[in-house]
Amino acid sequence: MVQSNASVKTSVLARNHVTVLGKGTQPMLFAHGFGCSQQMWRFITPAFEPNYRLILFDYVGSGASQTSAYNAERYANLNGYAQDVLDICSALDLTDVIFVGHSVSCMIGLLASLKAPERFSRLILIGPSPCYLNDATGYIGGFNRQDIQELLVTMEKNYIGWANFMAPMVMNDPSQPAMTEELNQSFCSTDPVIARQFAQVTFLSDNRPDLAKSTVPALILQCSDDLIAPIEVGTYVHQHLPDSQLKLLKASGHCPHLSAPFQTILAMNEYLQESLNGAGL
Amino acid sequence: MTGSTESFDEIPGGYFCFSDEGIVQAINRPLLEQIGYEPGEVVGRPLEALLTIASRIFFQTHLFPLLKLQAKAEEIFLTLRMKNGDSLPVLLNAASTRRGESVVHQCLCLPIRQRQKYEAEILHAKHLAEQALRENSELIEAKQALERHQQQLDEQLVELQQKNQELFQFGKLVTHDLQEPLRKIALLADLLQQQEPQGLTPTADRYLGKIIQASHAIRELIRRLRDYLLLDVSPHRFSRVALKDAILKAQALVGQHRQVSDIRLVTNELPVIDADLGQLVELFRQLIDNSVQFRKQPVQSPVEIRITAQLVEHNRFRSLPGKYNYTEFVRIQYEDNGPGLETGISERVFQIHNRKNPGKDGLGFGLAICKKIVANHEGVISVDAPRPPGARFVILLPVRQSQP
Repeated sequence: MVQSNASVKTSVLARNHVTVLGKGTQPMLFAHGFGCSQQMWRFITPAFEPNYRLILFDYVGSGASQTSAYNAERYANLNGYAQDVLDICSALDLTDVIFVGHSVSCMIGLLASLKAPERFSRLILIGPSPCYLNDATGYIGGFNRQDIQELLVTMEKNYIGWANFMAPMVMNDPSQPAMTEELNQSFCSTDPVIARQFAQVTFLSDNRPDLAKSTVPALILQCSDDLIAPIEVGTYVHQHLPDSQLKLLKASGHCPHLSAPFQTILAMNEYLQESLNGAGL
Repeated sequence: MTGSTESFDEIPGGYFCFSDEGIVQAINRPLLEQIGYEPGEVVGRPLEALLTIASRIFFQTHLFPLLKLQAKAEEIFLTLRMKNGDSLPVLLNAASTRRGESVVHQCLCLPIRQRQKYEAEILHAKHLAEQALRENSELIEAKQALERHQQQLDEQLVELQQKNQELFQFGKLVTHDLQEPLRKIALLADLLQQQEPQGLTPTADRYLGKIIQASHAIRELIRRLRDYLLLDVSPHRFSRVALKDAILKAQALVGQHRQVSDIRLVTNELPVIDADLGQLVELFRQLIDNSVQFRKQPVQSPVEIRITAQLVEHNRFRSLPGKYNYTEFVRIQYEDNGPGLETGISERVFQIHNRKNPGKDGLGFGLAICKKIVANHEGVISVDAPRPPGARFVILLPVRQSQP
């Protein structure tokens, strides 16, 4: 396959606005969910900085990525997003990666691990769902097509007041215009057309058949009252994903890393510690 | 905020607040009246119960992250679900404040039933305009691309025909013109050896033996070259092929040819794909043959070959940049317990005659043949960075061949 060279490497790092933090060596790759950017990890990354090498990024079309690199054909499939993850892995030549994904990124990470299993050592899946739609077989994903259609309308209505929606308020410090400017560009800022396609590919994908193919051990972090990925879905993932552990968090909602970062960090550390011991180290 | 309940209830608009856990802590009377609930039915309950499903998703994926990271959100469009199941579109401003240990998110909302209709119309018109614009520009772009591609295609077809012709000529030259003199050399050398062994000095006899040996080697080389070239010229006959059958056949062929019976094959469940059976058998024959030929010396343990297959979606386009069509591929991972490949050779192993050991008839052509077969099937073969023990190849083949 294509050899990674310096220019490909820099272009991937700029394209996905890759940020590298931390003092450790083992890579921990954080992949944000639909509707946000790498900023959503900021409450939990400080806890891992001393012991890991943290890699954060924005998917093409999200956050501060290069929107010009968006390709409607590529990103019409979650595998196109998985390719972003793999591109970053090869640009930084990452192996032994602990992949931390939220929401739709759980399935994106799974797809990436199927294509390059040698790069990944653990998957940490926060609020995974292999399929958001209910289907005739009795599977309950939580939503029907009508709901998703309405979501697209809701998103669109909010983009009418788009500039207002993404303007940062609390950090608006006139003495630091650069910071405001950066936030303005990077927080949740997504092109409406791209956001719409991301919503469609997120909520209409069905990755149930892929679960059983996984060869990388995984931790599923399941919130107590998560409408987007309800407990039944988390249990389904756990039952079908080989070598997986299911950890129920007390936190409610779909974003425990925002609403209950301490609990999330604790659960992640417990799992990583356990797997370290299990590996006989 | 310490405003009395009465003042909340006198605001000409909706007010409510909720905790980090998403539980409604207070709600004012005008909003309750709008959505048709009693206070006791809302306070202490999840906010999500007051939202339509779509608005719940939007709340979780956009609004809540926004509040957590920026502590404020303005002009958010949401749809509330009334007690009778009807929808109430509202425009909402929210701000988060810390109250002691916990955080409270306060929201003001205005029902926008009329504006909603107006906006829906604007959006509808915008959609139509955008769609027309998009289709038009897509059409223009597609037309330009098509014209460009037609030109390229034409040039490539001409080039391809010319190359095929050359290849065909070259193949003929190799299979016939080169073999004929070689056959003569071998024949004459044989005759010389048989008829006049006593007339030759021992040195001449040894040289003659070497000539015969070399001509055999050249003949073998030509045979392999011809096989390689035939892969280009002969048409591919695709049918439904069980991978497992092809692999077992290849294993048997290698066992026969190399006179070995200790090839241990481990596979998982292997799918049926569109392939040229003969070529697929040849692909695995080459790989297995390499594994046997380059096994660890001295022989201590059986040749162990592990072939695992996984269905994945992969981009069908292999050359055009920016083109994506994710279709089903089988990802075959081939591993053996041999000494593995040299470091840093990666792509080069697939080139013709990159022979690491000239004394053996293997690697030189074998992997080039593999690459060609895989390419004939619109697939990709790569060699993994060496990680002991053993060699590891990854082959991606489409499950379905495109219709001619």
